[in-house]
Amino acid sequence: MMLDSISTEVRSVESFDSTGVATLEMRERAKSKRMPFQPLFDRFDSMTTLVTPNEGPPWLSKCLQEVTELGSLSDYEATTGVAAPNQVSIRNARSILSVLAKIDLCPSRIGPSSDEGICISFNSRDRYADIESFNSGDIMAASYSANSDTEVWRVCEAEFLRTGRKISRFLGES
Amino acid sequence: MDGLAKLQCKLVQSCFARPRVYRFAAAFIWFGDRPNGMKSKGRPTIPVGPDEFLYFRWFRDHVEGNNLPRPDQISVPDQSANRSGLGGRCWYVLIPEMGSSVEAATKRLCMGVLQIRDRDLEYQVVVKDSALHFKAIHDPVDCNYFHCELRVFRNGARLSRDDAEQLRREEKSDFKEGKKWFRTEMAKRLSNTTERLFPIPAIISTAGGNKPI
Repeated sequence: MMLDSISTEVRSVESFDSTGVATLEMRERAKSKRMPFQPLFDRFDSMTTLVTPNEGPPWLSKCLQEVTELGSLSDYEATTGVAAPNQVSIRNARSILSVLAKIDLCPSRIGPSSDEGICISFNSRDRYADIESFNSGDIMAASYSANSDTEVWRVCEAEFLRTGRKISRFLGES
Repeated sequence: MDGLAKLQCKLVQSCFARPRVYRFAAAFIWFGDRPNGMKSKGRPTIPVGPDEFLYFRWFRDHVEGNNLPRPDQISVPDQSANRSGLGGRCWYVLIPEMGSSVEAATKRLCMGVLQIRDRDLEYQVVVKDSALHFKAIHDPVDCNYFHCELRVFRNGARLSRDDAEQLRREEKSDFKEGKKWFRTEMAKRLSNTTERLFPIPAIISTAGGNKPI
């Protein structure tokens, strides 16, 4: 009986759908065969809760976390003389990252900017680009390489995707 | 690259980065002060020459993977630097102010030094109605004759950090754009020269939030 329930659980876990989430039907099926007070069932429950919907590339959650952490930099202003990123720049940076995730453009670094805000930078060989989300609400992007002219442009919310594609093309050029 | 300058910085760092050695040097060599050669002693203000180097302190985590200074960490306006002309030494920029704590002093001594020629630093850009001119100005202080400031002139008038706070919202936004042009162009110019960094900065910023992804 015990062995039987173990095999049921294994089948259920292996039957996750393509996005990595157990379907409701599978969960219900597993539930109906559950026996109370068996530790293995608790383990299965924790497995299902650990699996989260696949909503973006793997780097996105890490980057969003980094941005959130920038909101709690202690003593940043005292150390650098520059205001730490505020909620406006954090909100905009999170929106930018969410849009960049759609084209899978992973930043090389995220950090506070010397001009009060957050800088999301991209680096590929001798090419550099960044998008800065300032505390004032302004958003600006820039790019340069040894062989091309420096470019700086303002970005509004509707242009995040276009800017991401432009940077992606720029970094991909040889 | 000036090998002698590199060696001087290395020597200063390896000798004085230890709190005891620094405390000894500050007390018995400089008599609780800065090196004698750094002091102004009434010397006049002289414009920076185009071929002179300007030295800036730089943190290790303010450098990209390919060892290029990150544009978002170039601070402007009123950024301090030291000049190489008139007998200025590159390592003077690492010497802490009098009265600094030993911890702060050793931290500064372990920073990297970034150099750029004055002619490469000067930059002009027009953003809407603002003509911005970025320029290094000799600004000697009693304890540091070689002190310079990277100043910004907006339509011919100096715009300090405090002045910039008083600008209207659209003007502030234009100023931000002008600064971004300058910072990005500086990073590009530094990437095109082989004499940008020495020695490799040993210390990272304590301000946090500068980890690579």
